[in-house]
Amino acid sequence: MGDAQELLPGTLDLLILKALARGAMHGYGIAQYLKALSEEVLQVGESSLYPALQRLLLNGWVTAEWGASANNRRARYYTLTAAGRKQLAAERREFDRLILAIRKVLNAT
Amino acid sequence: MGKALRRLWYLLRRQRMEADLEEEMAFHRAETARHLESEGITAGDAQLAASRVFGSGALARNRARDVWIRPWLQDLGQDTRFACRILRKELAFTAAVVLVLGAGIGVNTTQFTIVDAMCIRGLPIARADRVVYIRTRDAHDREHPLSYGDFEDLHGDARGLAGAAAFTAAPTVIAGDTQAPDRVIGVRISANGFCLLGVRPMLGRDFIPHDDTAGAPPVAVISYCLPVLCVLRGGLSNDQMKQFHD
Repeated sequence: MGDAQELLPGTLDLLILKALARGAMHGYGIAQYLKALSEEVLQVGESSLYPALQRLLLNGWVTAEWGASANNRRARYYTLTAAGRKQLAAERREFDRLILAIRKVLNAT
Repeated sequence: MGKALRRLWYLLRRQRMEADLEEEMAFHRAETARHLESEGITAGDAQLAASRVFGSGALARNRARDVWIRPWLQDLGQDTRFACRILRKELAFTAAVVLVLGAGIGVNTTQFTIVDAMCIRGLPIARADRVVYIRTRDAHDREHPLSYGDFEDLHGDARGLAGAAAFTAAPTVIAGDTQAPDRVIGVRISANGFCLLGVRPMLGRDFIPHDDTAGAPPVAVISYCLPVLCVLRGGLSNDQMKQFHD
């Protein structure tokens, strides 16, 4: 089970930012989204997801607002800010660079 | 809004923020249970399973708080509260500590005040660097004050000095008709002393040469912040003393 603990450091923040790039989402929605797109490989626990969301709030990359969920319950929706969009691009570049470097090492003969 | 401001905002509305987190985590749990139920698990089992999937709420809360308030700061607060509790419990120990610290700080402050006045700030007069203090030395290399005769000679033909003034310690007693006598630190100073140092009285007049002649009525200057009395020859009448004391 790929809990966020086992992800590369900072990767969860990147994934959340990416998920929110589509539009506002609540915590549960983000978890479901990551689980579905990763074909159940990424199952993000609350003890990782909610601290990460608080971190994004602190950095001003997302804002949170209460709204109604699909089944009409009160849910907290997160929205990407302009700074968050910039952060997503920067983190994505950094991630690609890192993966490329790791792959180079692993592919060495 | 900067990061520091957002942090402050969180601290000010901490209860509300923590309640928000609590509510959204409850929502998450409920949604998970609903999802499991739709997959055919009974309601009770679904809730249990949802809790299991969800993991520890307490851990999430702690980690979320660590994001806003740095852990070392939380520890500091906890340690401080613990220290205060212990100090309240061990009153004798606390009293001893306060006493020792108070005495230590007091002595140091006093010492510094003296050093500051004497070595760092210097005398509270203009051009303190041009003032010299003249003493005599005996055959055993011990220092002594000048005799009045020596002073008069120096006063008469001092070259290279703008002037010479004499002073000597003179513990003085202030008494009124109706009040007990009070001993104060006093200094006898020659009439030109204040003028020479460039010090002017805030009230009244400075000494004049006539004050320094034998048989002149006694006059005194009272210092502003210390019970120091500068007197010339003779004593003061009771009325005058009472005036000063008031």
